[in-house]
Amino acid sequence: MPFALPLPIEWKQSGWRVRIAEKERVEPPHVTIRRRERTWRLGLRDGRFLDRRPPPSEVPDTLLTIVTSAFPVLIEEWDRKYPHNPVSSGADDG
Amino acid sequence: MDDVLLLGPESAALRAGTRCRHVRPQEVRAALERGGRRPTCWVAGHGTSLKPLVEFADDMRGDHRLVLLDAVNEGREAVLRARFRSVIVGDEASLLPFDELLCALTSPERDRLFIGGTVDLDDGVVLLHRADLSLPPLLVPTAWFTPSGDGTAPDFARFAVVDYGTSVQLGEYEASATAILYEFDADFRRQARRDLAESDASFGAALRRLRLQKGLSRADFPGISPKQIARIERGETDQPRQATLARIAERLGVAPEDIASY
Repeated sequence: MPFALPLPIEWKQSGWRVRIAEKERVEPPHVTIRRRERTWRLGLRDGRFLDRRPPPSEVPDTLLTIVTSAFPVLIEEWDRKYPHNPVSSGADDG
Repeated sequence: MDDVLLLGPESAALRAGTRCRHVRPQEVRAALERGGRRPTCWVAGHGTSLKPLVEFADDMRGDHRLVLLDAVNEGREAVLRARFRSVIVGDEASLLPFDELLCALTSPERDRLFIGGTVDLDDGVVLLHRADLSLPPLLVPTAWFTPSGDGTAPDFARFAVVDYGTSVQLGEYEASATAILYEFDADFRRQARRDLAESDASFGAALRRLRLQKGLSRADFPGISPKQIARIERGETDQPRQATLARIAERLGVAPEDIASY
């Protein structure tokens, strides 16, 4: 089952979701922020947005703070789903 | 030009101001005649009479595509398939909920969204319809949906496209639409590479991304040592010899020239 980060009710009600699915683009490890049909990949190694489209500026800073403060949980969930490419691995993985 | 013409009851999506226009039966003929090179997408809602579409099908100009939410009889479906460039029928393809469907079809992101699909277990493929109807459907082998590390496995009997077309759900298992597109649509992959905020565009980095996507370790390449794979990935060697590249590509299940596109 995909991991869904519990969000405060006001964010949920306005359609924001934060998830890790069973099948994602594996490298680099990331969490996906969603609102309706728009999705943003946020890197779990450095907290940066991975893509220029859609514009990362559309994700509110307050939500971003909620997501980054949950990185320990998100990293744990990523590592459970993708043990062959854990967040802690870098270019020197085996 | 309108992106989507809707036959049938007005919806919340229309009220929300999507680029979707409601067409009354008396307006169908003019809309069919107005088609151009850019596809016109028609959506026929539940319980909608398709008679005007059939009646004026001969007047059609340009590129028209049709999404039917309800099944139709074989004869009518044959007529519609003969006239429209493509026809997706809701009872054959599990489609998004109506308002999400309209949102996906009119989204600027529609090239990276799915609207529905079907599972063919006999042939071991999942067919996925794109929200950009000018793009062909994708065929994804069921074997590609490998269980995740936590043991969640796909259940193909519980297939659905969900979340405005951003995900494919197979029971408790979920695959992101962009992961599917990145693997099976070379044009999407090239665009996604351009969209990356920062990226190591080297051959070695592409090889590493692809290897990890396939769930392989550096020890999984027969005849090539893990150290050699590591050196290639780190860019410490020149482009590998053709024979080595062919062996790597074969293990990864891609053409040698495609490795750099990942």
